[in-house]
Amino acid sequence: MSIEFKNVTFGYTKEIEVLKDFNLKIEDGQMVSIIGHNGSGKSTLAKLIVGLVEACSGEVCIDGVNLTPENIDEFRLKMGIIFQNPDNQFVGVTVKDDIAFGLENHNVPREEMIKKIAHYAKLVNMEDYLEANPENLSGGQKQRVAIAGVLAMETEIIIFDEATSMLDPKGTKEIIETIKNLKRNENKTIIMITHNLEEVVFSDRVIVLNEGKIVLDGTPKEVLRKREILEESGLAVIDSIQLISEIESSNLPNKQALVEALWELTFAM
Amino acid sequence: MGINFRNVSFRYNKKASKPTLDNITLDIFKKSEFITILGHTGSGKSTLVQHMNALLLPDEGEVEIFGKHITKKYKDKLKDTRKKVGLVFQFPEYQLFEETVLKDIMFGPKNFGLSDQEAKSKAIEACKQVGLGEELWTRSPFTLSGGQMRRVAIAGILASEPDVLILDEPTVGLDPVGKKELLNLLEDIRINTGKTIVIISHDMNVVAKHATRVIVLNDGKVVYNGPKLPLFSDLERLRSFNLDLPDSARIAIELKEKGLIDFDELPLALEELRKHLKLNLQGAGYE
Repeated sequence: MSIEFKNVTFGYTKEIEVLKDFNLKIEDGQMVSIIGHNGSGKSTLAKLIVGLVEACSGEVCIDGVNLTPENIDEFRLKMGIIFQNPDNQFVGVTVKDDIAFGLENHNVPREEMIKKIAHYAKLVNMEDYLEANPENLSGGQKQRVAIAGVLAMETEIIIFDEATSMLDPKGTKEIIETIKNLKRNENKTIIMITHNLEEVVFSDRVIVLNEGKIVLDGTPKEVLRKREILEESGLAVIDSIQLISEIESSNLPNKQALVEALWELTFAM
Repeated sequence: MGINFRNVSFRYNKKASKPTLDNITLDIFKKSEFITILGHTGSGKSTLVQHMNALLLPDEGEVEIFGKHITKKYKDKLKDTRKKVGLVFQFPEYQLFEETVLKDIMFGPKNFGLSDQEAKSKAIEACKQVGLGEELWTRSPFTLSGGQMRRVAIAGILASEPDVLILDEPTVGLDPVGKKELLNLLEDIRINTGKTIVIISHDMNVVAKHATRVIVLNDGKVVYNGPKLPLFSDLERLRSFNLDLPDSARIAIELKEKGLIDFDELPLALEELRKHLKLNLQGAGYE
């Protein structure tokens, strides 16, 4: 399912416009990372897509259809979102109940529900915890349950809104592995909103936002090396990519081998 | 003078067989240290720092905090102790509550007995220290950005002029620039005022750049207490603690394995790695 912003203007108050005449098209099945500093407008994009806020002017189109208060409920069934705080999105008393929550709301028959729960718990590697109490889970495990809950709805669009920012490194790795797995095996439009550059290296496309404007748009390889613009946008360059630029502009004899090794390292992180 | 743990054990659930802190002996000095406490989730880090200003009392053993001997039975007032050891919790911005930035920062010093006037001047000083401009002082703290709110919370602790400043994961949720600014701020405070900074962190790049000492907790025990280089150089032990390498160290090791660079001492930060790369490569070029 494609997502398109057409001349969208939006502000939380009349005085301050977070987005102004904003245009962006995300193709069906693409995995796109949207990065930017706190307050750059990246979470506002997510809220506009799922209809938590409404554009002041312009259009937000899903699959070519402009979102309106009348059709938003229908489109919400096609979108899932995973938020930042693992503790704020757990609703069930067990992992199984939590994954079931959305399905129950949509009156999915019991047999089918059981099948779906088993399938998606396995997909996020939580199949051994179905009866577990969320209190006894780590942050990374809770987030994986939240992902399974969203996946079980079988939506065509999935948005991760800083889904790893409150997790420890181990939890972050678990979530990244889960998302990589999704990308490989499911044909979904995935949007990652983050300020962690290491999370974006496996996306198809990276968009950098600053002050509500797109300042960079390209493949990870193209975008992650634009040091100046990244720093102006409140972001940092990954060490290995910083070294690549420095080595490329040097006259060191085995620079090609070094650059190749460093790219390989960057994408293996 | 400082904070001295002697054989400290602690259990949240008094019937639990495994203690959260297990026989900890440890010294934190007053003099300008930058200590990072590492350990995976559930290793006891937050519990440990809550003993450092007697928010939690040990079940066994003793914590001496600036001359005061804190044990299970301690009943006296702790105001002085809390003033000397400032503790900033995780996501401290959730604890802001006053109408204005300045009032929020004044709350601590007033609580420790200063007059309105005195508290205000301490608050202003703290604002300057953390870089909160005058235009923000009369704003409601809830209208500020996440990074600014966190500065207000830290200023609130600094205004009480603690000798030791402890922060539980201070950079979580901040963007890269906010992160860098906050760490530089802590480094400035340490250098300019000689306060000891203790932070809980999961970010090995922060450790590589800032730590003068590293304490590693595992299952409630102190399993490492010393400088950073030996910690990161012993890969097998590092892995047994469930810890990662800083980015630069990981890059260095990979490049060495491929025969592209060589070094004896593991480079921990980018500047060191850069030196190794250029030195080594220039050497090769001249052959």
